[in-house]
Amino acid sequence: MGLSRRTFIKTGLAGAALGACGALPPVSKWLRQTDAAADPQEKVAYTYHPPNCGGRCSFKCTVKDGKLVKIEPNEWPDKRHSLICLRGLSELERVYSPDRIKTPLKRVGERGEGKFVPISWDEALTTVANKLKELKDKHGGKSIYLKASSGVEHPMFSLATMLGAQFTNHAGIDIGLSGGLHQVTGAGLFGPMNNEVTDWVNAKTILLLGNNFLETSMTDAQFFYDAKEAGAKIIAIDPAYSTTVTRCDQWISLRPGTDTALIMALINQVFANKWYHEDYLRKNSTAPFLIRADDKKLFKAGDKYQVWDKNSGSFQPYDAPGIHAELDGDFSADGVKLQTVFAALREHAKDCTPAWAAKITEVSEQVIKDLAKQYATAGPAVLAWGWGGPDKWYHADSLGRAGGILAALTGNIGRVGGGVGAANHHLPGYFAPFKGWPLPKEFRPAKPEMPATDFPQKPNSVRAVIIQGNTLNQWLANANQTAAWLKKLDLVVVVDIFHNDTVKYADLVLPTCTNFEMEYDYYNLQIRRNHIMTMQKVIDPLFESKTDFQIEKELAAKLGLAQYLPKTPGDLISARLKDPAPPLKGITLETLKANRCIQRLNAPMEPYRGNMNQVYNTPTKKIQLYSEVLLPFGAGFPAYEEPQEASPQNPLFKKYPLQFSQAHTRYRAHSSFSNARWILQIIKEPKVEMNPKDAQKRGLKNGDLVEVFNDRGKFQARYQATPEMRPGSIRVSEGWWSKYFAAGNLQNVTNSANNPRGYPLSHGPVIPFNDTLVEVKKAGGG
Amino acid sequence: MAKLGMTIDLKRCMGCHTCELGCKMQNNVPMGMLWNRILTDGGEDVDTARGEFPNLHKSWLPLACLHCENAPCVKVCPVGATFRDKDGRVLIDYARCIGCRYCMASCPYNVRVFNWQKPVREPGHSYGDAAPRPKGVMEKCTLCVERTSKGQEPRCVEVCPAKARKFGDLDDPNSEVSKAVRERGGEQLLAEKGTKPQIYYLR
Repeated sequence: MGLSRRTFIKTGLAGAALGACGALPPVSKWLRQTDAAADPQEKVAYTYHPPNCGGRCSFKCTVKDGKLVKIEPNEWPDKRHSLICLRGLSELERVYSPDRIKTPLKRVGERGEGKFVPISWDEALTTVANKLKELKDKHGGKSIYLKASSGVEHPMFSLATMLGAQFTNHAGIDIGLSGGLHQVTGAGLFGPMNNEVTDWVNAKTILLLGNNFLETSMTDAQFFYDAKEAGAKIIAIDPAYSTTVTRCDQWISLRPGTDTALIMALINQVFANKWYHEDYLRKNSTAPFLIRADDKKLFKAGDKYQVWDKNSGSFQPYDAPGIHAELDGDFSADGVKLQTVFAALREHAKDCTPAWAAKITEVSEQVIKDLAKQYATAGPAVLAWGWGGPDKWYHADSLGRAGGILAALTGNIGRVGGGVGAANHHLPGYFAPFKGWPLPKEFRPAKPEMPATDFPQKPNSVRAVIIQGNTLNQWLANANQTAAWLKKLDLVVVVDIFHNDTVKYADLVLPTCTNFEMEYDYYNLQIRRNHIMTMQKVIDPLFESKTDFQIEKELAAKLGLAQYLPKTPGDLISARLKDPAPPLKGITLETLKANRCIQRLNAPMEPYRGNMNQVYNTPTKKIQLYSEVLLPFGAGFPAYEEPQEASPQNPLFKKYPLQFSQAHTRYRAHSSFSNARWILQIIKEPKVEMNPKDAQKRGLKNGDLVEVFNDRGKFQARYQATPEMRPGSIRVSEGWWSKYFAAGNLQNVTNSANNPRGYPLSHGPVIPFNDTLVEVKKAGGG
Repeated sequence: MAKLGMTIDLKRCMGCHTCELGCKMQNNVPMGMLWNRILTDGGEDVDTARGEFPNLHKSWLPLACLHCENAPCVKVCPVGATFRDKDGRVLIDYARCIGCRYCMASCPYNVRVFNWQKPVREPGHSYGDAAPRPKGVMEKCTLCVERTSKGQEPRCVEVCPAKARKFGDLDDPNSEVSKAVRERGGEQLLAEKGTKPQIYYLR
């Protein structure tokens, strides 16, 4: 062992020094008297963990004298999933956090100043309801916009529907690659992998693309290691030396934002070496479809796409039985030249040689060639990307499309040990859809006028926003732009647990409960990892907080609409479980109660693998290698484009030569856990992570207070010498609330530009958070 | 009678700190103290690498009391507060501990922590299963004695998401830990000191 005694002592002392942080008031002071006098007996309750990470671990919680004293992993029917991570454990402290909003609050200073006075629930709800009524009468329901952050168990969509308001459940974050992949495979929101992670053990190659899996999907780590031990070669493509890179067989560091060039070169190699799966493509994809030379659209007869049938020597509808569609060749119809999608793609990728990609990505030609061979020829291969890396770039859709096409060419979709898409958070699996509460037909939400990311930037009808969670700071880049928009609004209502950055802008703040507290016995349902879980009450609401369900109901009552809503969350749970979806057969709230709030769905025991029937959620039901939707943008096929901002070709680069990213870490899930004091024992403040070579050029020493800035804004934090950062790029891990920075807010510098190509995509344009240039200097007095 | 021990697979450990917080919860560990720490074998700060881009190294070393068979802390304790129990756990009788900290000085692994002040707990009530300790005593990992004496695994083993930790009886040649030590060549930390830890690291 290479660690010296000095190392032990040093870290030990660092731990001891933290003792000084313990000067906060004891939390028991904040507890309501009733809690202290509550049932002295110990009880056990089962719930699951929703905040943002999507892991949905099921918990066994012990409550003593009305207080949460222990959180353990619940026992799952599939015991491999009896898991928890540091974030779940830290809830024990976070529930009782001094950052809790204890009463409803009313703004007294300027909006954004953060000055509030406590008010009663009645006053808060009456004020909100009256204002909403007034806005709806004067300007229509579309003047109200409701947004719930991820991790909110009960978004108030019913209320929004009854108000005729605009609402969205996603907004520009983590959807860049997914929008592109949707064009190819019909992948749903966030573009989850087709195969669940338990199937990785059957893969020969696992290509992680900008995916710090071992930090963002900690509770799937065992499946990563199992696959590795079973002999899969795991390769990480990541500019920086991440935690996951340390455990991979190979690391390919590329210039940030150039991943599409690398994937295009792999496609080039697949064609050059004929590594594609001809029969698979003929049967399952649009490869044999024909592109017209005149307008570049796909050739149709009537409303049917046509292919050239070798058997009959004629054009036939692509889905005609008994045909043998030609993959290759030139054809013509009515004097118009036609080329198969397959041939056109080969031509399109012809110039994307490894040598070409090597110049762009700064990865050597040989490494690219070897990578192509490994991925295409070693056997089943996984192409798994993460969130927060290549996703948060202006041109991310092209990468999602190129990735889908590469997987399709090599027959890695709908295959044991294959798959393509977002690997995080155990998203794929056997599933059943849950419908919302049925409302009378006269209630209709307003059609969203624009993606949420546009509201601060473009004229629109919105005059009031109701936000559940830290949306305004976490889901919108360019915080100064967001603040300017918020100042123009008539009403900002924030429903949240903690005093985070969104709360600062509120006119009215409504304190909600953590997911451990509730007025009811049961609160909600979730499906994850082929299991269904319900959320049981653990403790009473602390302070004056109410659940989102209760707040929606009471607000609806003030508007005279409460009669349309479920009386209890239990009613909603029971209604949802009546869904005829086969995985739910035999599962009721009663059976869930009897099974520690978790049951396996009616589903086969083998790992879930999507698209095994080779039917895709696309208009043709096939893998679509060519996109007519993106033709108006000249993007029938994906192509590499230089980053919109973070490129040396940008004149701005001379002034701001550093690419800035906000990466996920294990210590937070978006901005949740920013204030978790157990976790703050490990990482106590945000750090500007930069390669020492870049720091040296700027005269910076480890620990110096620095300013990160560009034309949009600035913030200050300490510099941390991070040799794992690729020179030329810096990062601050995602989700830190501004109170942890020496000054400013990390979103002050981020880029909110929207790619016009994003609008027709299924999930709208992505916010290019990482496509951002900055410069760093020593902060005054640092 | 058993020789309770643990193996920690450093190829699987990804420095996630889940064991650290699991231990904190289970053992009612106050703020500013940790019985189980995750050290970064790399750069100066937590989670930083050693070397120059792109030639880098980083791994993690979870470290708590190693429950040495030849424990220096047991030898130096002037009041017999620190002892090895029948199953090989090194434990502290808090009622006997006089806070002299000889054991802290003698431990080559620096895994003992001392209650300098009235322990501050956040949340402000006792949590987990272990009883609170008063000011002025030494404390450390007990191999979750209240769990392992009932046949359960220590909390750090139960919660490890990477399944890097295994727990069992090193006297039983068929136990998972014995097999792992044999087959993977389990390493004892600072073996040259002769303390014979019962926690083995697998590389």
